[in-house]
Amino acid sequence: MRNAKTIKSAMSVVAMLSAGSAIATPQVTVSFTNNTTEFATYQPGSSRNETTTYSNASPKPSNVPPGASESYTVRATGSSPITYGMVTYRSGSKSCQFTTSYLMNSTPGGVRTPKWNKNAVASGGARCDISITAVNYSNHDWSVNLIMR
Amino acid sequence: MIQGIGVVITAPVSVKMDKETTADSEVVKEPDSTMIQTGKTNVSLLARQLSESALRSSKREQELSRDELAAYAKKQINNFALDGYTFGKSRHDLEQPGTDDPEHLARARQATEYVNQTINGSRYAKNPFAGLSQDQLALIAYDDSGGYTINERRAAWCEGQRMKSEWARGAVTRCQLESAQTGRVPVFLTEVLHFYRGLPKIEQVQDCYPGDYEAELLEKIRVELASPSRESNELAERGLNLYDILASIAVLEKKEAEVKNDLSVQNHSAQAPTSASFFDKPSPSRDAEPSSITTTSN
Repeated sequence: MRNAKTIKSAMSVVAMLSAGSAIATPQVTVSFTNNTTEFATYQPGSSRNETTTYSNASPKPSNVPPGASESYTVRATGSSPITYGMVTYRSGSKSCQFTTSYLMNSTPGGVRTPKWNKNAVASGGARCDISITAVNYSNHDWSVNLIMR
Repeated sequence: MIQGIGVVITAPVSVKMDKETTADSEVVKEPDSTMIQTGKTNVSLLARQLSESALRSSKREQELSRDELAAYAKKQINNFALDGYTFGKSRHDLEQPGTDDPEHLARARQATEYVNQTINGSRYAKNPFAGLSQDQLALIAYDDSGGYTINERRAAWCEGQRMKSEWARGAVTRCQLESAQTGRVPVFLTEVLHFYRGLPKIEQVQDCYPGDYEAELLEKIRVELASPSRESNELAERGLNLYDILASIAVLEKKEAEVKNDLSVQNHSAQAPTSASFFDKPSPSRDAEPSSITTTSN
């Protein structure tokens, strides 16, 4: 029984290590700055993308005073080939929804290339800036700056 | 407004709240009398106010359920930070503490100056509560007894948020390093867990933290520890031998034992966080060279 368990463990380790050359799901580091004159409140949202982002965020985003900023990481667990962050902040009547995502593309020739995307949607007179400030080509982690004005 | 404000009391320069943590509640004791007889007069008022606030906070936490305490916190934040504050802004700026104590009057004036300077974008505004601990700042911010002006409470809360932000910035930087070096982040998540455990109870119960947050974090830490490290990936790239396989089994068994030990302390039922594969509504994407976009709405 003990031997069988050991063999099973060895086989699973071999399988795990053989597949281990794939890059683990990358994480995004978010830095949000509130440049409005009122508090910016993080809106948990109701879409799956927003709730998943919230679930994967550490530490949890919250309220940001005028002129202040907050930082957190969004890191998916598991081996999903796609990871993303979608967050919405509201300040008075202004609102910004920021989205950033990573996807590993596979071409027909078998070449796999990483791609990082970004997008911002403003409403209520807000100005929303999103920029990808860094990408790590080794592990594909990336960083974004979000600014709400 | 402030009870017994005319009484001359001397108090310690810094008030240390003695906490007794039990399974269900945290009891905050008053500073003992020997402490109160030392120190300087110019900080005695704040020290005494903090002491009274600590008693009210303790009473509140004992009497209210988690949901009730969360609702109380939400209402207070609305009053000193969100819509409730905005609607009464001019009134808040004129509010004076109900005292003729010059120390308190000066502090309230400083708080109003700080609030307005930060609203106008100043990064150099001086917060009258800089230097207090997270616990002390929370005592001021969430005390609605009238002992502090709304702007004082807002300033105290802002200082607490600034401290959290400063910690988060450092923790996230450490997280990036850990991720780059090992491919996983159990140390970072453990730091987040410890930070959460150190927050005042009224902040732990707020909406931004789910009710099972601690269990959720422990589960994430377990998943991270169980995932292969970058070292394992390097092994796979150079090819395996029998020694590598046996060594990996030993490491896995050791980690499982460690995780079991950790989890046996906590009785929880959190699920591992999952990630969706696709966007509900694919948003327009752009290529990702480090760059920026701006969206404006009028």
